[in-house]
Amino acid sequence: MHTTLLLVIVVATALAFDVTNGFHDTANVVASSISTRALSPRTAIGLASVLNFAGAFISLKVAATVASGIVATGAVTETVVFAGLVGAIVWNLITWYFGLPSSSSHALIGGVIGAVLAALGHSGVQWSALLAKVVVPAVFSPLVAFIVAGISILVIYRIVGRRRPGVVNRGFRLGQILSGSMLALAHGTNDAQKTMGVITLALVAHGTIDAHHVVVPAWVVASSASAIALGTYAGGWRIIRTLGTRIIKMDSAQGFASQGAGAAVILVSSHFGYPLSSTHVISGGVMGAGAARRLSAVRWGVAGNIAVAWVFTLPAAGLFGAIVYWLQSIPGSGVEGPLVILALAGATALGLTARHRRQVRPAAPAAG
Amino acid sequence: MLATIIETGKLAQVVGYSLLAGVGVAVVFSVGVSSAAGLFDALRARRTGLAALWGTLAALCALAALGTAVLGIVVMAQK
Repeated sequence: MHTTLLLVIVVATALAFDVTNGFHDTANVVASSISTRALSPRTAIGLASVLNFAGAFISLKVAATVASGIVATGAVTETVVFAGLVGAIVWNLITWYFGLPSSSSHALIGGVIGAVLAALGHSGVQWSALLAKVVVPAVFSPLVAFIVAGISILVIYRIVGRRRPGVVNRGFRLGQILSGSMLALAHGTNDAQKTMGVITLALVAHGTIDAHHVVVPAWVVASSASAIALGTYAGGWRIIRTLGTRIIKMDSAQGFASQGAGAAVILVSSHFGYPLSSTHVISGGVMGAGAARRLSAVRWGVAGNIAVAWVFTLPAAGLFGAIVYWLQSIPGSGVEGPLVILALAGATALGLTARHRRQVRPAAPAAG
Repeated sequence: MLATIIETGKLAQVVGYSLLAGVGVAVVFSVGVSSAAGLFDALRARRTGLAALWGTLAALCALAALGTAVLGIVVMAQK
């Protein structure tokens, strides 16, 4: 009974993370289309939401990597997965609050690794796989997107340079519907799979799935797709502002080049099972499209802040994951710990909501 | 040591295919946009034959860009 309740809590927390992933990350996907006015914010977010849902059904290779390729799957317990998820959510909310587009994916992996380290020590983590499948692609993928977007925009300007700007702008705005759609699909494919992987990890810990024959159940795919689509629709306006206008001011051709580069890198990497960060990749694409035109067009200070958030994400989420694991171990090793953490999280959320309402409440009109 | 851990071959494939898909679609689509601009210029100059040529090229490029996107999804969906 207790272990089933624990599994329900872990699955619900994973889906809650998927929702936060949607509203945190998908802003990156639609920022270019909105800033160049290729699509209205409402349409861009609606389209991204539908395509995130669809994208989640395309592939399961990243889910397999997360479920069985990074930590010692057979030794992980549900409380470890829960602590990792809460650590990732805490870091996601902190970076979301400050408008920093850090990676939800690396927050999730960092949180789980931190909790595994706290529970099992060094032996619980497959360090070489972590390096090969997460750390190296994390450094590599934004650079590839930067280069692809840079080359693309140079070629585009070369081809359309002598044409009337009005027709060219309209053409690339239309093109952004295609490139933005592909990017949203790619995001759904790569990001929803990480939640699928973590839920599968919890199912292995519960004994529902054999650790030596890990298969992602259909209900896990459907629920993860729905959660990320819901989060996407809720939107992430703070991060749209950061990526859409604060890194570079872009034209529709640059938007097309950056989205096309992002979609290509994420889709190809997903095919090889790499759990990439869509945030890293699209930011790399945006910077590449800006820098190829003029290096000073990129606001390197903002780009630097984003880079710092990237560097801190894995260790910071890991630290939160470890802290949550220790906190939940105080009441015991069963379901009590996660229940205490949930109660604390609920109380904090209620307090923050009440504070936010007091701050935004309009002043009462003067009597008279 | 590091070289044995890093999946160099797979990463090289990621770079190659990303360049091919990203830059390829950009080239095809820009030729399409340039052709559409040529079509409007030709129509304005009442040069119907040239307009038909530009129009056909623009349509072919649009189809090729869409086709590449569909191909990408099909490749992804192969387990």
